[in-house]
Amino acid sequence: MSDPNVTTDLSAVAGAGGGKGRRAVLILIPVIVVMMAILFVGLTRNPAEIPSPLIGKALPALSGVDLDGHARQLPITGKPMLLNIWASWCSACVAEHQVIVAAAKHYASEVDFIGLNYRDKPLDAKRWLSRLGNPYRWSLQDLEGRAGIELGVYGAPETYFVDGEGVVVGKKIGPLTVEELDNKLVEYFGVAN
Amino acid sequence: MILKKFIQVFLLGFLLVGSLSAALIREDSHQRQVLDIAVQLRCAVCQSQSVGESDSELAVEMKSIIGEQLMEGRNEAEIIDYFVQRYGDYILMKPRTNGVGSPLWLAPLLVLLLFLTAVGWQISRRTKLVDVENQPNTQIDEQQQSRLQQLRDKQK
Repeated sequence: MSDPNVTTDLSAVAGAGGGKGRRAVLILIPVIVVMMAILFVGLTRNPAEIPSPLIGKALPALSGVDLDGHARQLPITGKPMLLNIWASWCSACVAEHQVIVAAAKHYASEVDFIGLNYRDKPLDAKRWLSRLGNPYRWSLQDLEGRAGIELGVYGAPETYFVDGEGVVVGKKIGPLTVEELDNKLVEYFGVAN
Repeated sequence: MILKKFIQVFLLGFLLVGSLSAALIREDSHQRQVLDIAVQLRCAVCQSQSVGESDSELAVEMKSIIGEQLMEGRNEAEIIDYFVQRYGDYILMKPRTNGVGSPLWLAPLLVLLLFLTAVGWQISRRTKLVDVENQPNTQIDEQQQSRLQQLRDKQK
């Protein structure tokens, strides 16, 4: 141990150790920055907004009766369609409804507005429509939510945008705002604003 | 006569209990099959729960669909695929091991590998340091080594 070579060796090692500490910090900084970026993106996303696997695919065929008891089938082709999932028990649907009513008046000639009355009592649903206005050509009854599961519905309100060939081009989970609906109708169907 | 009657009643009762429990067991295994599939699916309205754990209306309806499809003879993979086609990979409680899900499964392994490499590297480095410290004179070149060997040979 009294060998002078050893002491110089050790001091060289100690110096290297100091450099290592600085290097570790230099490696840690980008790691922390990347982690923060991932967390920032991850935590600000809405976990309820899940992309639909149906986009780009044909709308599943659905049949049943509308609120007036007429036999109905989906998809209807020829005209772009907005399929709105709604229910009288759904409070977010009330707020969205005025948006749909206004859009249905404005775009009636270019887009079919169809409703899917999700897990509702037909009588309540009809009363709700007569109170708030009926923007739909008709609303398919989905008493048990089976049609909803066929479409991959999580809950009301949800809206599917289906082109004239019956292909799903877009989906919105949650209530639509005026601007959002306008933008989507222009984007998906190329309607004149 | 009484004994005969008794045996008849006993046998009848035995048959009844037997067939009833057989039916119950069948029902039970059906329920278990439904649940086995349901726990693999995410409840869409209660996202951190599985359909199997949830009593929400959507989960109940999904369970009855699973039951019906089992009755129709579909297997587990087909039923899970039915829901994936409608709700996307998101509906799976466990992400898929292929495709988009693979980084999720590989990342922890990669981190572990990196960690082990770093630890191994540190250990080998420190062992070398200790060697240097304990045997300060081992760092001699080949010439010195052979000279040393010569000296040792002479001593013998």
